[in-house]
Amino acid sequence: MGKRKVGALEKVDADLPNLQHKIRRDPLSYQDDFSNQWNQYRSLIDVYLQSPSTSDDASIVSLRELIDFVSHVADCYPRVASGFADDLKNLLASHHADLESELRDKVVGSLVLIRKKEIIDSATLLTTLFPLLLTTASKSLRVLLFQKILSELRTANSKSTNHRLNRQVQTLLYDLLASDPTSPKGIWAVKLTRELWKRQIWSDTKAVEIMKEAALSQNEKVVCGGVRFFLGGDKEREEAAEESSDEEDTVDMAKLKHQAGISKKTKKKAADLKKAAATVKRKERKKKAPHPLNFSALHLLNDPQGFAEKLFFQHLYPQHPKVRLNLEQKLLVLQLVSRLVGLHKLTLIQLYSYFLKFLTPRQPSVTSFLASLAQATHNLVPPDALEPLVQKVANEFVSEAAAAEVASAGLNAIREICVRQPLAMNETLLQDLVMYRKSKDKGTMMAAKGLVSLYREVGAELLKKRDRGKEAALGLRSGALKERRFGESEEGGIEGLDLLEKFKEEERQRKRDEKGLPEDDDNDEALRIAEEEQEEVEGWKNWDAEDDDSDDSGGWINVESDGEDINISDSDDEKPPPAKKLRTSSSPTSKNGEANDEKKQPPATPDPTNASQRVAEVSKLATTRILTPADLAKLNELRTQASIQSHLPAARRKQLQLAAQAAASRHADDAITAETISGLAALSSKATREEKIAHARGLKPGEQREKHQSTTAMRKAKKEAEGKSTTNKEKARKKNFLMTLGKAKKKGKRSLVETRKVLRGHLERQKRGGKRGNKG
Amino acid sequence: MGSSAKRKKEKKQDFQKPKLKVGKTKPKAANFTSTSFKAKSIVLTQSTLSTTAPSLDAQILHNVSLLKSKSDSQRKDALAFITNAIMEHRKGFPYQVGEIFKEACKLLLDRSDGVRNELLKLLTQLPAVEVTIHIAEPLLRIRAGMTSLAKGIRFTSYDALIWLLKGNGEEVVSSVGTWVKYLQSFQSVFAFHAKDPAITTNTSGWSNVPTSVQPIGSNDSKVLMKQTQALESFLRAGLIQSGEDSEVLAAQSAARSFPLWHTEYHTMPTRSKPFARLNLFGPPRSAEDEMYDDVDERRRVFAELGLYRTFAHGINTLKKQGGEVGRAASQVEKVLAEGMVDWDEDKEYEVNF
Repeated sequence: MGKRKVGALEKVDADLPNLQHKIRRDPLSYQDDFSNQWNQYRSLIDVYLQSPSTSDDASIVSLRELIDFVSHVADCYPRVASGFADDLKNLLASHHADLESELRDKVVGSLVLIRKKEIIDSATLLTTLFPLLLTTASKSLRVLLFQKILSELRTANSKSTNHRLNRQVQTLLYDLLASDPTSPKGIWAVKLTRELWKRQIWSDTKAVEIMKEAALSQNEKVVCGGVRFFLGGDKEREEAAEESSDEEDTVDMAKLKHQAGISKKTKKKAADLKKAAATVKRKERKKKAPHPLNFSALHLLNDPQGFAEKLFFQHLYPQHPKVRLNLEQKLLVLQLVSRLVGLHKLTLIQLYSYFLKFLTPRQPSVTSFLASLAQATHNLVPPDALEPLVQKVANEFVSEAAAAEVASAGLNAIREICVRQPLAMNETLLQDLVMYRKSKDKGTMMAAKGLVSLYREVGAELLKKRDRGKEAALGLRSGALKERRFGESEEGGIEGLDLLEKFKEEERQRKRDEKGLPEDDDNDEALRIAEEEQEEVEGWKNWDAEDDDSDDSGGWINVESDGEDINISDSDDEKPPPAKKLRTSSSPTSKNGEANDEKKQPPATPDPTNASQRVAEVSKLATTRILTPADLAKLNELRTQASIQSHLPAARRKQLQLAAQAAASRHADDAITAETISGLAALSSKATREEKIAHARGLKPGEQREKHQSTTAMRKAKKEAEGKSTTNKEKARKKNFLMTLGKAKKKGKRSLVETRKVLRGHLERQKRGGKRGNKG
Repeated sequence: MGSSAKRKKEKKQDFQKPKLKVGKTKPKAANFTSTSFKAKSIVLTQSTLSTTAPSLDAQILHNVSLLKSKSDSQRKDALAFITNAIMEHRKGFPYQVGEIFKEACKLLLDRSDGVRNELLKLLTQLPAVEVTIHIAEPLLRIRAGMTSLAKGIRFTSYDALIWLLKGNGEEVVSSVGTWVKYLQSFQSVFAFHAKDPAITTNTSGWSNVPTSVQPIGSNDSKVLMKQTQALESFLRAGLIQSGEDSEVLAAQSAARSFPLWHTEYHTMPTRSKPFARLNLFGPPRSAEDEMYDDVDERRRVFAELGLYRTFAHGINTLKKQGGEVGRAASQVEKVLAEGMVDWDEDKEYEVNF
């Protein structure tokens, strides 16, 4: 008999981690060992299942270890360990309540692990874990499950969006909410969806549908979760995106390279550097990647009218709603409803009468109600519905007897309403309110002034003559400033189209001049049409007209002579205007002058005949021809040119005015909050010195200033925080006097040779870079 | 480090002796810690002091509860106490032996060698008849122990199995899910491989190490010995008809209690889980979970699952090792031959699981 072969496991100290390691390296040789352990695992599970609640510690520990072991190597023996996933699933499904907590966590972890090893698929894992999340009473398990489910969904969507899985899970969540609207379990659907929305994994209508269902459910927590999502989910998502982009800047490549040059060069450090470079590159690429389209949840809503109506009639309108919401929660719902109404311009007439009973100064958080009311107003709301509300606000809030804050909040609210629907105001009331301009309280005064300046623009007839101001009065006289009727909307157009028209005309003129034809020959219509057609054909040929700019002549900009402080933007991305062509035209100066004049004229007081003429021109060009790519490129160019010209001093004032206007009428998507309503009240009382200082420092009200410290101390702290030592200077300063004494005494008595030696040594050290040198 | 006058002063103070004065209390040291406390009531934990020793019953109860103790030595001592008590009071033992057995069996997979050795001592003292009804308890644990990584646990498991088979062989092999699963465990422990193409073909280009006789822990012939013995007694219990035919036995028992009819159905059952065969509440059983309480049935399953051929081949190879193990293996071979003597391998049997 030959030398006996030594079994694989005999040589080593037999323990499971060791075996696991060996199996990973050579699964084939350790097949028997695995099947032994597999058998043991099976028997232990049987032992456990005999009496799940009374198992002893030792067997639970060994079962846990075995489950861990098997889950790590199960992928090597798919045939032997085929029932493993089912075992775990059954164990968890039927015994999650009485499993020992550590074992339970291990089972969950093992399921996730074998999912990573692709023994089971995501759908199986999620359908195992999700029902558990709903049923279990253990908080720690819920936390664990939630985290695992979330991370599973994240990893499943990390490389590319896993539409199938997403749809499956979304349907699961939707069904959970739809099947039993009263159950509090829906909160998990809300939590999961909100988290995934925040991370931009789910950003589609389906997720919004889930939240919509949640907002319409009959459990207050679920309702609040859904409503809060619509009110704040998008902001949260934006912040999360910003945060993650902030994190990207953590790797300082220059510093790392510098460090690598100084410190000892090892393979590890080289690898580190390489890795850092790779991450930086990856992040760079990520940064350059096109920004994913993310629509706000409010815009993704399907049937916002129905949603707003349901929300209102389910939670707010009835005397005894199915869900009892407290004031704060009601306010949230109201905020959402009014947001929807304002954003999508919905018609919900009952909403306005609902507000009526809340509009008294004694109502808690009345500013929020006022903000909601303003938010729910838009230009398609019938003025009849709003008039009583405005009247009531004016009666309740704005009076000499009311407190300054109350009056300013009331005036501000009225202004916010009237910005959106100017017709809600009548003449007497407005003239009454305008009188508060003379109030001694600054907040009230500012609010009243705001109201005046608003009505100077939108309804100057309602103001008394002396309040109208110059521009409004002129506008009224010329007829340019007309009161807009209910439902009337501004007509649209293509910006800069008139410029293009003019340019075309000039171009035609120039060609005619070149050919020597008489100027503007009207009977030569056929020739003109032919020319235009030819031009158009050429225009279509040149698809990417924007890429090859026809003008390589450098930037000649027509500068007005009267400008003192010329502010020309010299950034590279602005295209230089085609001044050459303009100059070669027959009468360049006069044409340009005209263009500028037109630009300079404020739209509030245009010449009526000129305006109507221009409207006609615009409609002619845009409706009779299809703009070619060349035309569009030219249009863009002309627009840029016009914007540059508008930077010039004459246009400057107008521009500032426009910017101020834009700031005044905020973006329709932005919500109005209670702060906007009560903001002006802060002006009523003088700020204390501390508040002023804090404001100047840019600190928020509650924030504390850092401790006072000397510059040196701050520098020292900074060094310490960076993990560095003190400077040599500091060390020298701190050195014990007695230690310096000996040297100082000796120094005077040194011989020349000694001195030379010392100095040479000093030079040498400097060259080396210190006592130890800078080597490696 | 007295660089400043202040520090020098402080340092000086450290070495100054406090002046003691007559009639004054000694000043407290700087590091004095006050240990006084205030409490509304002070409770002393009860300590049992009695002049009479506790009864044997109580002592055994206490020791049985100690079997779950965290400390190794306590479990060991408890086992030793119970063993002694059983030895001393063979007649009139005040406690249910079956209960003790049930509790003790949980220690089969104990990590301490001492405890397991003590457990084996206890088991040998237990009467086989009393144990019969609780036999399902240790079977799963023994099977788990057979494939354990720790040598000691394996050893204990085989010992316990041999002991069980000696007293209750028929019960062991005919209980639920034992026969096939144990055979599979034995197969894996001995590393007997069925002729499986999946294992042998995927090593093309490499000389395959013949792993067919590389049983777990085979460097220890003692364990291998034990293993072979256990297999032998297991196969003997499973394949060889013990005593008379069951019908003859039934007739005999009927004759004993002549005027009464079917008395055994009205008395307490003597075997564990008497209705397990019906499988009233469990999930449907597979072939390996099924219970086989008839010798012929066991033989049939043994052959049909291909285990017979595998075992015969494996034992044959094992026998060639010679020595003690070889002798034990030849015993197993004998049992196999005896058990399957009237078995025709080529004959087709109907499969009716």
